[in-house]
Amino acid sequence: MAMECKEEISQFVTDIWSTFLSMKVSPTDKPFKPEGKGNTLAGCVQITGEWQGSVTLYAPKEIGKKVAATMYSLDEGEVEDQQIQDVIGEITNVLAGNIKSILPAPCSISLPCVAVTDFDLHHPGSEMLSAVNFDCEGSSFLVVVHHKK
Amino acid sequence: MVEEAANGLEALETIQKEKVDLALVDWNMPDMDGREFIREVRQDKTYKDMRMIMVTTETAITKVEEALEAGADEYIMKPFTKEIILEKLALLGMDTSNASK
Repeated sequence: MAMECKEEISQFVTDIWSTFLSMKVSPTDKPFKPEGKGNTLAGCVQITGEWQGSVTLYAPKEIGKKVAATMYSLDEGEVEDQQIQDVIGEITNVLAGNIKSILPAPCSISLPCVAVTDFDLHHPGSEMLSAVNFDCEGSSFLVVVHHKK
Repeated sequence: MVEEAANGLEALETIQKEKVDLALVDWNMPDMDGREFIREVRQDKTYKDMRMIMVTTETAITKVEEALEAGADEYIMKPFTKEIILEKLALLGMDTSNASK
């Protein structure tokens, strides 16, 4: 994946949100800005093989709660932190799997890991290849693809 | 009744305790992945009637073949809808009349 592939990332994300969650999201120029410390979740999946890098999804807890409520068929007030982390990991996993389909084969994806972060997840030895902001019902989230140098 | 397991090893314990008609098996799991779980189950004739559907983000046709060779009855790619699951269940001849539950 030499290019930024923003269009493909946008397509994958909108498909995942609409198919899995029946939620409409769209790419936006409005940058993702975390509000308050410890309010951002980062789901990350590593890709190894013919192409090496990572896919990271940054989302505010507020979006994680909406997604978890939809996925578990709960009211937002009933959603637990563990469920929010699980869905952020799962969505990142599905997204990485989709992105893998446009990468040179063979590649493998890791299990997802999820961190509660202040939006400062570092990827040593990697360069940012692409970053796409999305709007989800008035809130923003961000997808970043890093390529290992 | 729906039972959940965090990985293949937990799933093996679950099917030893409960009679399971259908397993939706994620390929990408820690400790024992979905393909290993399906292979393990298929080696035991106790579970010969248990249906297993591999659910995964893997889209390559070779991965579909690997899942089927391991013993999966069907294959679903993520993201999927409820309708896709129902369609696969119908293909397996399973009763979906109570699917909304």
